[in-house]
Amino acid sequence: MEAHHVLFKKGFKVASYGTGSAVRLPGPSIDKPNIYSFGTPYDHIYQELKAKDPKYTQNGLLDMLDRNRKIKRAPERWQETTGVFDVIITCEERCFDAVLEDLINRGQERHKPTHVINIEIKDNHEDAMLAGRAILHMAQMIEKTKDIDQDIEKLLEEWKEKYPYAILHGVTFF
Amino acid sequence: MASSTEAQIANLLNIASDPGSDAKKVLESLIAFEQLVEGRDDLFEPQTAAALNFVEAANEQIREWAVSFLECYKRLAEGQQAWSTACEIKNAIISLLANPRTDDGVKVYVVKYLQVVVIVQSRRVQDSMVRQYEDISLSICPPTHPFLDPQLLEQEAIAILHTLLTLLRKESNGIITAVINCLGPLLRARPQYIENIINVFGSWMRTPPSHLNESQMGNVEKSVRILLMSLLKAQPSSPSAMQIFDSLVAMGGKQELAQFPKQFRQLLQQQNDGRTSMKRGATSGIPEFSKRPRLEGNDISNTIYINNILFFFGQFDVTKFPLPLVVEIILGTLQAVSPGRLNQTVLHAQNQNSPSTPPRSSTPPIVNLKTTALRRESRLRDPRLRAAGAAASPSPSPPCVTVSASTSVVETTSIEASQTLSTTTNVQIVVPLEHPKNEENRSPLPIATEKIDEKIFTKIESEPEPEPQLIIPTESTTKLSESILKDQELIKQPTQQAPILERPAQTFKIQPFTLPPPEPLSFEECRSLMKSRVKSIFNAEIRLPTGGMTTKIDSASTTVSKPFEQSQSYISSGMTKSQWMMIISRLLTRGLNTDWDVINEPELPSKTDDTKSSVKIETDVHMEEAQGKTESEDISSAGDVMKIEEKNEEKEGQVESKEEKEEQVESKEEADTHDIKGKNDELRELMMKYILEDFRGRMELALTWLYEEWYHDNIMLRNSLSYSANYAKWLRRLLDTAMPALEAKDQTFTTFLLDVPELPEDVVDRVKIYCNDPDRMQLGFSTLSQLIEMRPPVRQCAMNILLQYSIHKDRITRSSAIVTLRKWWGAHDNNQVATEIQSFAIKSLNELCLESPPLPYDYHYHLGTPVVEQGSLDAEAMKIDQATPTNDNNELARKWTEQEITKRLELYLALVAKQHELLSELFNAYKNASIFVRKIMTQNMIPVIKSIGMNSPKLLQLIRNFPEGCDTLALKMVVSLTSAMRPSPQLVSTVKSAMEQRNLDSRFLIPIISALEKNEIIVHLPKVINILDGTETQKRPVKEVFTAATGSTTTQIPSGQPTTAPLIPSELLLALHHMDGQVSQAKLAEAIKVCLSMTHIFKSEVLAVVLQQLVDEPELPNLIMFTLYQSVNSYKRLMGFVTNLLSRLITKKVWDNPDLWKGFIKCCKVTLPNSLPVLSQLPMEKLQMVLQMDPSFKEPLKKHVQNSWNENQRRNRMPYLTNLLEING
Repeated sequence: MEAHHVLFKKGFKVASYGTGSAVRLPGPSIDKPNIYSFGTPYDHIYQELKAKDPKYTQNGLLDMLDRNRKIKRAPERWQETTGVFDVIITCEERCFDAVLEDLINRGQERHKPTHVINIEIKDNHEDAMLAGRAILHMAQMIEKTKDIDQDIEKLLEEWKEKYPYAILHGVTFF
Repeated sequence: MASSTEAQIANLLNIASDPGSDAKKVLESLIAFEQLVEGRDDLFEPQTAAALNFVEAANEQIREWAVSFLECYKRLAEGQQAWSTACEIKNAIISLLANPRTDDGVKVYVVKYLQVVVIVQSRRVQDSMVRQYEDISLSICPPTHPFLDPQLLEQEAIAILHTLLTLLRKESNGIITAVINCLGPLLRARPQYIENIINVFGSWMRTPPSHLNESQMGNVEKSVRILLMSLLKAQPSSPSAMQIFDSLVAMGGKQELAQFPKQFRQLLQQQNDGRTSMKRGATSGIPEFSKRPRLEGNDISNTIYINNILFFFGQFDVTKFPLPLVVEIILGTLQAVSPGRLNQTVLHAQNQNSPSTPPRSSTPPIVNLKTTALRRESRLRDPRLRAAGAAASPSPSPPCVTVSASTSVVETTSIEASQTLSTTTNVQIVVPLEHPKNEENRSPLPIATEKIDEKIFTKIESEPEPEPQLIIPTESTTKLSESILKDQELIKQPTQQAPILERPAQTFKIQPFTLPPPEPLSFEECRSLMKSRVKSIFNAEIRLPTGGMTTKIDSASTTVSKPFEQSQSYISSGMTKSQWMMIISRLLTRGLNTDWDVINEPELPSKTDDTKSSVKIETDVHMEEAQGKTESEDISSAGDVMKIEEKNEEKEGQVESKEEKEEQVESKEEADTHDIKGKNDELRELMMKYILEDFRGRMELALTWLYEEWYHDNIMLRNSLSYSANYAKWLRRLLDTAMPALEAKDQTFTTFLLDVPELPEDVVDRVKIYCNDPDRMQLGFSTLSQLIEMRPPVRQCAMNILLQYSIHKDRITRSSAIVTLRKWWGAHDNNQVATEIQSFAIKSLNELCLESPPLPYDYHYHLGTPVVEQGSLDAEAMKIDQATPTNDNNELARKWTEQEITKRLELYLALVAKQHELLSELFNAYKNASIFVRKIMTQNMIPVIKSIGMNSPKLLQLIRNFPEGCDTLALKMVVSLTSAMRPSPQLVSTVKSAMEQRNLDSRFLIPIISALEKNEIIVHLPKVINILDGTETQKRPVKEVFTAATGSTTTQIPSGQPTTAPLIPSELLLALHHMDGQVSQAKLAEAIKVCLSMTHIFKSEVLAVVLQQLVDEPELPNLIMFTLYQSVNSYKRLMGFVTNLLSRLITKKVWDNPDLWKGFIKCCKVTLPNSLPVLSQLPMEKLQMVLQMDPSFKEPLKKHVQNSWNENQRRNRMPYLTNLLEING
């Protein structure tokens, strides 16, 4: 969402999705996350968690939700979307796998190539902030290329020199 | 429109051959176009029903395109021209790949284009995952198509596929991943290529291309893994699944265990456990084709096997030939064979196959059948078998003809039975012939088989729904049955669904009754059987995976309807340890009880009913056992247990109704019960032994077992009062055996006691054993403390033990217990516990006031019945008892000794150190205690009082207001507080005010004197002096006071702080002289003596100063002469000084005061001969007086006058001196 936020601010046409079965937010303990189904409005989650326990302010969860509810209404699920994208950036290998697998399952009937890039990011506020900028930079670099399909390899090499993140890249089709 | 389309195509073609910037868009539309061109061919085969279906079902867009092409096609001479255009485009695009100028961007599209081409130009097979009406394939192209040659096209597709795969070796990372990813949908639509492609991947992994760097390699491998995983997930039961699985494992997919479909996860675990007997080529990469497990002795699979080999070694596929052609060839061949030989061969083949017929009544073979059938089915996928079936020709693969009887799959029976609507009667007739062993008329076996069949059906039904399809009845029955099996659509037909679903439910209910009644066993046999069974259950433990608890829920959710999975999971250790423990525990508790009861029951008068039920229950027990062993089904075994329980209860009801009768046989019953217990115990004994072999490791089992016993006891006790509980008995036995063996540091014991369901008091009492053992004392106490905290029901009992140990006679034991108890202060909020400890401490403190110590607590654990406390004596007392065995000895043994007193004090003192409020109790006890006890009390108290310190408000308050009779205690407190420290202002003021208010004796002053002001000291000094009575004991405190007052003690000086003594020694001495009148002279003299004896403080210089001042005083103090005398006695070197003083005293007319005068003379005497000049200065009468009083002066004085005086002097004073001294002229 941080990347969505950053890219959105810079005027990119961007959407964000989860790949799991539900939205899992930190809860009172590691084994007790707060679980919401996709489509539950961020505002609803925000209000509910705020009422539940004010300590969520401390760990930044409420701030995050507050940011998210200003970006879009509710979390969406990748597997339920029909959108077609030029580039798909995932922030966890699990998501990368899920996206590639899902695109295979969809049957690739639209014949539209797409690039799936995984940038491995630790899931915490600080790393998300830093990675958000890195992703923005990548998006800007992609925006500048004449033909992404042709230049992506070079572009990624160049990007990798600047940032410490491990990346995966694959071409697949919608 | 057609011409414009044509022009457009030409235009596109031009652009496509130029690898320019717009090429991609063109390709994109071309891909769609290609699909259309290919599909269109079939649109114009109105005679093909399938094609018709396609048109109808085609989605809106395709239909739109189709319509426009319909027109186009009409004009383009049967579409041939359009086709050739399409081919041209295709070739142009393929050539793009070879063109070095083509950039990656275009290539990505080319790859995608080729993917579509391959899909379109290949055949649809059975397990293709694309919906049929969406799937454009060669399968919808009739073999008689005017200008399309399906075989040629398919070969071309394979060639293109190879081209695509060669890209894996030379292209960039992006293209390679694009190829891999586009293979996904391709393989889903065309699974026939999976094996081939997996092999390519395998060799790619073994020798990866050199132009990729590490991360690019990673990307590619990742894509491959995702691709394989998605294929595996999509069709976990497909024939290639095993191969996919193997290569995934070879590629390190093991790490993503959670991703695998369930059955593969199990397989993977098996492999990891190293218990699988199947040696897969997991390490060598992709497994060999020939290594794959196959159904042996099955011609069909062999055929497919051969077909596959042909496919791989030259793309020669007999199934690719048009069916009529194949038939023709076969018929021709067969005609060449003599009829006799043909018959012989057929017979031979039938004979060969029949033994391989799988047994049909048991469950496991069905598993095989199902899987193999599915496997076989996938190979037998040539669509023409159905399409061309109308031709009524024999099967294209010759061996199939002979198979008929061999595949006597049980499933066919019921399938076919329900098939009537869709299949011909033909088939139905065939069934009984085919399965001569299926004795449908014999009961009850067939019922069972049928039921099993249906189970499988329900399973098949739950799989994804395929399309309705026509089955041609004339095909060979074998094939038909197979295709029925695979083509689940038949089963799915709505007309048949209802009965199939109903029947399993019915049959399930009656299942247990189909078992033949078991042979009744003799009691002894039962017993030994049970024993050996129980033992073997124990032995099963090593095969269980560890950490069973966590997986419990998972395995519990497996359903009963999957017998094969369960049996498999037993092998693969799907049974968890917790389930195992549950089973063995319940067997021993509830299961066995029933069993033995039942065996016992026939002895009751009314036999018939009970015997019957006993048999049944026995069966259930055995079943339970069997189930437990083979199925690992928590639920089911629990269910059985419940069943048994119900019956048990029923039975008990019966028993109760026969109460009267029972009374009659009561005596007999008792004996029997004893007997039964003995027998039950035998098995429990086994359990116990097993647990004790490794008590730590099997503690969980022990707990599970005990919980079961406990639970069972509770149920039984609720129903019958005469039931003798097992739980406590076995808990005791277990502990008695386990406890001696446990290590001192072993926490197992504690954990165990904390976890058992119930703790009888005597079990808690057993902890004493540890408490009495010096090595395990800590364990004992920590156990007690945890019991107190975590098990409220035994808190009182455990607390009592622990408290008693806090007054144990052994110091180490006692202090350990006290340390344990003390933690409840501060760290815990457990007020109840704290209060209890406190009251106990006070109670034992107050015991000190008793005349003799109370009877000691029994610290020994006694096997058997718990002993009443008062009845026994301490071991020590016992010894004395033995030594002098008279009645009085009890009294003798119970005199207060130091030990007796100390042990009762320590807990209290430990508490006081933390809670000063308790101090008042000490005073109360002290007040009432005997002198000896008081002494010991005081001794013991000192360190604690020191640690409390002089700032405790409670202590200060007590010092101020201590009860009457406790002076010594209070004083001792003050003394010990100040012995190493300078008294604090609070303490000083407290003591001062207490002294003033209560007129306390001056001993209280001593400790604080050093902290007093000079004036205060002088005020209080008389009191101190007053205590002097000439004895040494009283001198000592006075000395201390003097030392303290002059700041000369060595102890009180805090480092770095200059001594600020209230008094300097000379001041003190002067003060003493001025006290005349307040204190008797004798005491003052003694005090002065004391001072002078303290030579380190009252040095000669000090004395000199004091004496000088005293002499200078206008009125001479009475004691001055005493001091002078003492000084000169102590310090000879003061002689000269003293002589001077004496002469000064003469000037002060010392003779006016008789006391002083006496003293003066004394001094003169002492200071002889130095005092002679002084004496000679005395006035005449005085000298005369001196000489009278002490004539011994006479001679020395005479000599002095004669020797030292000159003539003149002599003449001046001669007159009286000569007279007096009788000096001769």
